[in-house]
Amino acid sequence: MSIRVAVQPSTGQYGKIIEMVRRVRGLECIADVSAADGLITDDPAALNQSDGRSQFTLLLSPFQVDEDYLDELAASEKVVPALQARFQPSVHQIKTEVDAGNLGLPGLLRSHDWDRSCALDDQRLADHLDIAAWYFGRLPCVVYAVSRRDYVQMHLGFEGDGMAMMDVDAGDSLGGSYRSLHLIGSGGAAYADDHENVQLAIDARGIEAVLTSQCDAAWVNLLRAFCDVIRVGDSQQSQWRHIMAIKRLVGAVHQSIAQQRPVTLESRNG
Amino acid sequence: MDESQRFRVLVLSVVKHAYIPEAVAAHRQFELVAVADQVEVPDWIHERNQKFAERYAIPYLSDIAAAIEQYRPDVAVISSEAERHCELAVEAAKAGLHIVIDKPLSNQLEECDRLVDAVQSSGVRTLVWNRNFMPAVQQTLASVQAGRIGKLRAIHCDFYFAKDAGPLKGSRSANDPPLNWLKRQIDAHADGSDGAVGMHPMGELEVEGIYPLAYIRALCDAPVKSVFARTAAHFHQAHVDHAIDDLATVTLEMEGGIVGSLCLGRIGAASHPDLGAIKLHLIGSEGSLVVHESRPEVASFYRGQPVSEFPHRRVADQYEYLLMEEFATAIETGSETSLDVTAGREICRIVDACLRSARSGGVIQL
Repeated sequence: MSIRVAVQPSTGQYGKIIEMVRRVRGLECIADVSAADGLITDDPAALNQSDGRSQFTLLLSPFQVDEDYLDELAASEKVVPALQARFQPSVHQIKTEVDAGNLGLPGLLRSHDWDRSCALDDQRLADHLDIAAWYFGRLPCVVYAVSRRDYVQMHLGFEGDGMAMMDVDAGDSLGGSYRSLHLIGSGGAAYADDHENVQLAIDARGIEAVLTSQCDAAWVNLLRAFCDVIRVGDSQQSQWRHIMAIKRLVGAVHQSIAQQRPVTLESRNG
Repeated sequence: MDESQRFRVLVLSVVKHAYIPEAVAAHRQFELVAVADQVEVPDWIHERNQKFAERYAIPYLSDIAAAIEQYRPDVAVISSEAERHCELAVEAAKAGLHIVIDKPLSNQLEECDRLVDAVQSSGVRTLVWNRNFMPAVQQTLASVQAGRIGKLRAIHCDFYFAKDAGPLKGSRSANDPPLNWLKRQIDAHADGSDGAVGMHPMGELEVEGIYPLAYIRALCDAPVKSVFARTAAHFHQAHVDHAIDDLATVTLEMEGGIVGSLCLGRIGAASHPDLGAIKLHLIGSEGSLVVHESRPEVASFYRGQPVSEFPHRRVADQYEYLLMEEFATAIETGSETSLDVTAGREICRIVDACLRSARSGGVIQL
C-alpha cells in the first residue's frame, strides 16, 4: 500500500518536490494534508499547526530552525530533519564506503563547493559540517575558519588523527557550479570530483567542459529515506541533538572568523 | 654547431635521488666529471656514491676539496641526506660552484641561513629541485599571468603520494621496538621508494611540502602571512614511532587577502591507482581553475600488469630538462632561477611555522 504524503504549498521548490515524490515507488502525493501519512515542509511554523496530528513531518532546511525551538523538536516524535546534503549520490556513496570499512579509519576530508546560485548562509556551512561529522562519526574538537567576501574556508580537527579542509565559494565569477569531495582513510580513499565527471562539447568557438549532473537523485534518495521512516515509525529524535551540535559548530566557525584564531570544542560522537 | 657554454659538474653525494644528477647529465650543457663526498660518512653512503660513479664511468673521491682541485667543476649537484644538504652546499658555494640542490633545503632554518649567506657572498646561481615546470603547472601559471581568472582570491593544493612507507600503523605488536628510521629509509630506497633518507626522521610536510608550496609561491606571488596546520601519523608505523607526520592540512593566508590551503600526505599505495592525486584549485575575481598536475597522461591496462605499476603514465613531461635549461641560462646571464636557495629558505620557514602551529594548536604569524 502506498504511503501518502502532502507537500505544504508554500514550500520552496514545491513543484519539484511533487515531481520527485512521483519518482519514488510506494510514495503517493496527495493535496489533503489531514489525510496524509506524512507532510513535507520547509516552514517550522507549520509544525505547530500539525500538533496533535499523527503524521510524520519532513522538515527541509532544518539548520534554519531557531535555537530556542530545537529543544521542542528534539522532544517531538514525529518531526524528521531533512539532512539533504547527505543524500547527494556521490556524498552518500562515500559514506557507504566508510561504513563498509573499505577506507579504514577516516583521516582527511577535503571538499570544495563553488556555486553562486546557493547563498553562502549558515545552512550551507552546516551542510558541510554535517557531512564531515557524519563521515568521521564524531564532532570536531577544533575549528579554524577564514572568510572573505562570498567565501569561507573551514579547517577542522578531530580527536585522534582526523582533519577536514572545506571551502565554500559563492563569488560572482562563478558561471557554473563545481563540487569536489574526497575522503582519505587509513586503508583507502574515495574521490568524488566534478572534474572527473565532465564531458567535452566541441564547436567552432572551442571546447567547453560540460558536467554530467547527478540530477535530482538526491531528492529521490531523501524521499525514499522519509518513506522508510514512516514505514518503520522511527522518529529519529537523536537527529535533532545532532542539528543542535552542528548549529553550535556553525557558531564556532563565525567565532573563529571574528577572532582570527582556532576555536576548541568539546569532542563528542556525532 | 652548438656553441652554448658547457659546464663541468661535480656530484656531491648521491644517496637520495639519483634522478637529479641524471637529469643534469641529460642536458647538453652539463657534463658529470666526478662524484665526491666527505670521507667520514658511513659505508652505505660511499657505496651508493661509488655505484653511481661507476654507472657514469667517472671517478669517486671521498675528499671534496681534492675533487674540486683536481676536476675544476663549475657546478655542484647535491643529493645527500637532507641534514647535510646545506653543509655540502656551503662548501660548494665557497669554492665558487653554482649549485643544484635536492629538496628540502634543510631541516634546520639556521642551516638555510648559513647557505643563503654563503651564496650571496659568492654570487653563484642556485636551483632548488622542484616540479614547477610540469606542463600543467606551467599552463596554469600562463593562465594566471594572462589574467584569465582575474585577481587571485584563493589557491588550494592537494599533494598526495600514494606510496607505502613500511609497516602500516598498528600492524606491529605493542612490545616491538620503534622502527629504525635510517634503516627503513635505506631499505625503501632500494625498492624504488623515495623518502627522507637520513639520521633525522622527517615528516611529509618537511620532505614534500616544498613542492606544493613552490606551486603556490609561483602562482600566487604573494608572501605567506600566517599558517594554521594540523598533522597526524595516520598511515605508517615509522611515522608513529618517530612522532612525525604522514598527513597534514594547512590553512595559509597570503598578502593581499589571498586564502590558501594545502592537503598533503603519504597516503598509502591502496589509496590511488597511480602516484597519487596532485591537484590545484584557484579562485580568481574573474574565474577559476581546476587542474590535474599529472596531465597529460596515458592509461595502459593489460593482462598480467604488475600491481606496483601505475596504469596512468605521465607523458610530454620535460620538467627536468626545463629546470636545467633555466639553470644554464641563470649561470650564463646571471638571471634568477624559479626556485633559488633564498626562495627555498622561505619555504622551509613556512614549513617550520606549520610544524610549530601543529604542535601548539595555534595560528603562527610569519
